[in-house]
Amino acid sequence: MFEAIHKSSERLLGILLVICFVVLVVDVVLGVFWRYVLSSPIGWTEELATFLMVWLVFLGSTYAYLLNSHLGIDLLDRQLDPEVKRLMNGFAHTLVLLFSIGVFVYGGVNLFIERWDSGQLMPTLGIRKAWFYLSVPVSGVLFIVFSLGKVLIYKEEEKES
Amino acid sequence: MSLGLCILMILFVALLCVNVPIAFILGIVTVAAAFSLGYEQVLVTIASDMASGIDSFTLLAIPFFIFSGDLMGAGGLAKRLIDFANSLVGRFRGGLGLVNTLTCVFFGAISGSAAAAVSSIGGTLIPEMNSKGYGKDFNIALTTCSATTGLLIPPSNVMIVYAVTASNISIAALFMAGILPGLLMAALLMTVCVIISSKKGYGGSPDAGKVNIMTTGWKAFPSLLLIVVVLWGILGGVFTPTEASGIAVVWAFVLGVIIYREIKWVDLPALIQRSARTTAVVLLLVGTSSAMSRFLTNEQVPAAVSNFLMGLSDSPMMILLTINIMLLIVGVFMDMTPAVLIFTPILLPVAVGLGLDPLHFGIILILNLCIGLCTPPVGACLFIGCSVGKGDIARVSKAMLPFYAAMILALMLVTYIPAISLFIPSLLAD
Repeated sequence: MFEAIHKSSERLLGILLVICFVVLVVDVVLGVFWRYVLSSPIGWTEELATFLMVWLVFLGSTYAYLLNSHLGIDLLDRQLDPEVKRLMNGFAHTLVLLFSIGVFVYGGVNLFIERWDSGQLMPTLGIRKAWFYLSVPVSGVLFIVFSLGKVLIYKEEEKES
Repeated sequence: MSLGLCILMILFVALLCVNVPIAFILGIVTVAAAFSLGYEQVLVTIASDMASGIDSFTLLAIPFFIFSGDLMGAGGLAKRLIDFANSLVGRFRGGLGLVNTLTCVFFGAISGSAAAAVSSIGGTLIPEMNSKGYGKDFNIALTTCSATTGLLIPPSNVMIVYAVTASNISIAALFMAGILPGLLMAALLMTVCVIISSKKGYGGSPDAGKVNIMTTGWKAFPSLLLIVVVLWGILGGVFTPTEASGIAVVWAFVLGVIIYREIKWVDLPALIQRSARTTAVVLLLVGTSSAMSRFLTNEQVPAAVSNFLMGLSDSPMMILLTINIMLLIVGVFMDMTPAVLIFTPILLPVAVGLGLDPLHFGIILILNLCIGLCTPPVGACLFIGCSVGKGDIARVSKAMLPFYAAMILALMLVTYIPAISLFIPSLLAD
């Protein structure tokens, strides 16, 4: 089941990231054009850009995690036997899972609620700053699904062998 | 040293060994240390720091320089730059080697990442050098080391990371500070290349003399135009680095997709996804490390490290040497971005205490970590070089030895002669 979820999330996230990135580029370029060529700067381009970037980064990290492209040091596990390697792998993903539950989801949800209650707005966009922080718990849920999958798939592999 | 710091360090090394992604390690150790010291609201604070750490318009230059680098790599810019460099230095002894380094300098001046340089320049030049009788391991080693000069020559993503982490540093000034050290390193690498080439009889290519500088220069001109955007735009204070990076994306797109037509429209989504992934990896690190560095500052760790290092010796020269050796070791085991993020807040106060300019220290830090990018077991550039050149890591590392020597010489010169870094910024400050 997890493999199917991973496959479709990878597809969906890939599309979302492309859209997000393209809008980001267009937004900043428009900002430059209006400011330097038309000499009448648009106020909201910078704020929209950082808003899009935070979503791009957090969704993108779950995507990068899915594809195992986060930086780590794999010097020890090269020489180890496959059993120990699998155990370490499971341990590493379990830690990611715990961190996602604690910080990304628990911390993130509380952060969102706190900012929502404060009513703070993004001055030029006119929407609540809480939407900016929502990227943390949302990516947290994805991290939980992906890391759970990685731990369980690893266990299935172990049973087979 | 405090209990919190000990927990943090032991846990950090242990988690590195079991291959937890570094971005997560930074968060996990901070949670553990903060909990054990009885901090309140730990989880919410860290979640908040992670998001606020990347809430910056300046950091936006990083995804754009990553994307423009990827576009340039795939867009055939390297080929034009190689031809131009070939017409300039190709006829000399060790010619293609010199072409290699010079192209890396050009590429470094229009793009902010070394990885794109190794794969696009190496992908074209290594096979050509192999066929002209240059040793394969030599070729890979030279490309790998040369590509890192681009991290010192503006624009440079890692410099943006340093400037944001150090705070109160102007990115434009830091970019200017990197120009001479980058050129110095390139010159030393070229010297090694000529010495080895004369010994082994790697020749200048005889046909290179016939190529017309005007023709190749004209073809490379649109690519080199980006240097103008960066040098005149950012350094002259016309554009912010983020705006300049946006222009770099547009121009690289126009060149690669519309003018040179080496990137097909259908290739774009995959290219963007790769850039988005690299961006997320780098900036998630920035987020979690900003949570950690706030904890470290709270616990006054930088001050403790500073006192410790200052107590080692009376001579600033010796303390600087110690810092350099430490950073070289860090660079061997850790990638550049996490190393800059972790060690800038800890070591910058020491350097300032020794009377170093933060710009000067930034260059020292980055140059150290450039060497680390070329060393096993964790060397991003070395790995890419070996994979595009189809070389064996152990044998290439051996061929690297003279180049390591050149880079370490560059490091020593840059460390002990501040003017190499500070001369250009001082010219433009007035």
